[in-house]
Amino acid sequence: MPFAISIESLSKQYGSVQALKNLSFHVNEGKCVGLLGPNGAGKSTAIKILTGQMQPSSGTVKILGINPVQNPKAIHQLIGYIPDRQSIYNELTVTQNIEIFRQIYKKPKERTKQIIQQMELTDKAKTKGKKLSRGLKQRLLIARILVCTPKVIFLDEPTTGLDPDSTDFVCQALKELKEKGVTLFLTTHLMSLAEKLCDYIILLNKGEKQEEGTLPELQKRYRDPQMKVGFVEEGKQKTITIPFNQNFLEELAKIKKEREIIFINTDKPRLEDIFIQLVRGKK
Amino acid sequence: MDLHRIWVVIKKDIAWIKGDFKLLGTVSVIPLFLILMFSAVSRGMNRTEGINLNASMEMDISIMGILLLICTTGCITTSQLILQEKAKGTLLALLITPLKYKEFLLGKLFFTFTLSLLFAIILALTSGLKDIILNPIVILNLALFVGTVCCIGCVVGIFSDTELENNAIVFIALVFFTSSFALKSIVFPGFKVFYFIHPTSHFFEIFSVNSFQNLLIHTGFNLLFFIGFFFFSVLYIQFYFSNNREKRFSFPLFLSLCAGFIGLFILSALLFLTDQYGTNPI
Repeated sequence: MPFAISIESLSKQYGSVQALKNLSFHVNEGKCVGLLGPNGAGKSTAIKILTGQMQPSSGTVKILGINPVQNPKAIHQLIGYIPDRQSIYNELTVTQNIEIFRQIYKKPKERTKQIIQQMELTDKAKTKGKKLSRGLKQRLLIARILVCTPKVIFLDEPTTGLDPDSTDFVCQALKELKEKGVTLFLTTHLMSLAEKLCDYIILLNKGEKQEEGTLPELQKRYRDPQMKVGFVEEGKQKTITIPFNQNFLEELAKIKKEREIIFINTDKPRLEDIFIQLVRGKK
Repeated sequence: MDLHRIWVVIKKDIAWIKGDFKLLGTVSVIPLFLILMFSAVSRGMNRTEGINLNASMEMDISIMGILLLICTTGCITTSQLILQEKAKGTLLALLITPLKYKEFLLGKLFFTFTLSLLFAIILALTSGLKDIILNPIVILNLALFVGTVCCIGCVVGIFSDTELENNAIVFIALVFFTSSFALKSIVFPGFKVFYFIHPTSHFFEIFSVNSFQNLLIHTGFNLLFFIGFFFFSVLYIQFYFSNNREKRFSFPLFLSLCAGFIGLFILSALLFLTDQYGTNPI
């Protein structure tokens, strides 16, 4: 079975700027992959090459076994793309906005109603695009691509500028899609979204892949070399942090002699901490 | 090519323009104003000796009116429609679907093309050009010229990044379209060949042509211009989108445009050298 997304030695050069350097990874069908990185890391360049909007300088790209550079229209039948800006027809209603795409993909008429219900836009069906809030516009964008039942969805910063409620709605909708076997490929600055959604994370910086793996794997690799020790002193619970080195056991024995230890643990690093560490160039 | 998808683009544009007062004004109020103005001005025209297209005080102003009207609804509206879709990002959203570049352009051109042609015919009828305009070959020529103008409007819309830039380029395009009048009035040996490689010249000439052979020659040129500019706009939109909408200038496309004009120049020169063109238009 071919990979849903397969990238081999992908590079992109803009004049003297190397936007992507030798990027390689493979994504299985039904998985969610997050491409994370600071501004200018090359995330949007990668997504543009994958959706056939841009040609790479070198390397090969395949989506469901098809090369989007050579055959973009065959790819466009199978994928959905949510850009980083809310590109909807403001003068048209929610239904009209979805209808355009349903008709282009030649899907049955009932599909529009079904999608409007699925995205909880029924009461806004006749509202014009310009009267929708940012969150509702994002729902409409998702509804618009769902109408074609895509096998792979590319999302460029899907929750940027959304309030927590709208972010949660988008996150839930994407989770449901993943459960249905749709492959998701998203770029984001929001580490919390990546933590909730992504099965696999690729950290990109200055066009180069810095790190990749599942969230637990990354957390293991970037585990903080310090232990938290909880104890009771004068009837109050207190916590101290001890470096996790060769003297750790001696330090622990010293504490145990004087106080009653309640717990010893280590905090799992958040994805945000790993991201900051990598971007600042330290592990 | 899928006619259903072309129809979707047409329906979308109609629904969009209905809800956008600014665009609605460009496509309806300005042409209606031009029709009223030029039909009133051309009432006192003396056409007993045919249509005078020479750049003089006696020149038939209604032909200039038709040209202005075609440029307004054809070039300005088409470029505006494309520029606004580009600015909103909906153009990109549409092109990342099975919709092909050709289908998109045909759908986009159909609306402005039909409107421009309709308004041009109304203006011709109200300006006393009924006998000329009701000739099917003249209507065909008019349609081909309107198509050429709309295709140029498409290229302008794709090329422009901002409305200000679009307005400046459209103004240059208007000067280009009307410059054929000036070319007509320049008389020195061999200059008529340059007059013939201007798309507007063949639009003008169909109103004063006096032989069937010449009418066919102008129809041929109008057809060549339309086909050439249509394929150029398709190739240009393809180039623009496959380069992430960042590069606006393509040297191969520029060369192909130059080659097209050189080809037309050679064709025009051959027509004059072999005396195939019956009456000297200049």
